[in-house]
Amino acid sequence: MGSGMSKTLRATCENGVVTAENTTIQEARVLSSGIGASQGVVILDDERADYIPDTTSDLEETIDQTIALAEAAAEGLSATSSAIGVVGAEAGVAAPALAALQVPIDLAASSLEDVAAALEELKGRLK
Amino acid sequence: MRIVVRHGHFAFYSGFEGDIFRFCDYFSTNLVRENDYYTFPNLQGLPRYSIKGKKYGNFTASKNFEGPAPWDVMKANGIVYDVAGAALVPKANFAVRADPKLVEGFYLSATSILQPGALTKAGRRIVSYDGFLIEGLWQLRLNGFGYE
Repeated sequence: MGSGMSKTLRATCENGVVTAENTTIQEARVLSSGIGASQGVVILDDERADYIPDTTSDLEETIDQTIALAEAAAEGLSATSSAIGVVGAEAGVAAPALAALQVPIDLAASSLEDVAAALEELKGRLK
Repeated sequence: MRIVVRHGHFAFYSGFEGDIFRFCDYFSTNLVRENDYYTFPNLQGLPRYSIKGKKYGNFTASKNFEGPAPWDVMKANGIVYDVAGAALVPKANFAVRADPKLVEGFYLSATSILQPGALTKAGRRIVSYDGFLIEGLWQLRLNGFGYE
């Protein structure tokens, strides 16, 4: 016999153990992996207790890490392209031949910069 | 004064001025205001949810439960209010007998306050009832019952 209203309590979860109001919520369903420590809410509805984590901060952190990775990779590719140009010129390789090597590398670097920018915009739209 | 017991939870409804006061005086007890009724102090403010292993009033809840009202939580946890002990206890604790007699359209209780959890001769456990306490006679006249 549910009330149709349910009761929501602030809760934490670690290693599958949900805690609210300084008490372990026994028989709570954890609607996440439940392994790492998290904060969220437990919803009591009739005899059910469901724990839902607040994943916003996790998501932001993951996006930040991906942006950093994309930017580092773009930087690395740009450096590689520059190095090819320098070494090739010193070795007397014709410019068209060098360009054929550098263009795809530069395009890849540019794509990664676009990905980083798109993720930055996505992060700004997180509610 | 009307008395409504729901799954072992008491609600007293004033019918005439001063009746709550006279009840408290006669029974040497205290009643407190809760929403639109009066109740025993240890029933005041009980939440409409319980967490297994955590105190619900004086009682350690046996299950997680959320419901519309405190008496729904009491029902889910199998507890009633013990009038003499002023505490929430398992309804199974009671072996006291109660057999209200049908008299002129109502059931007459042998006691002024019928303890929820009491057993009838047929072995049915009364957990809810609805009736009137007649002042002066201090007679409890019941319209009906709810069994577990």
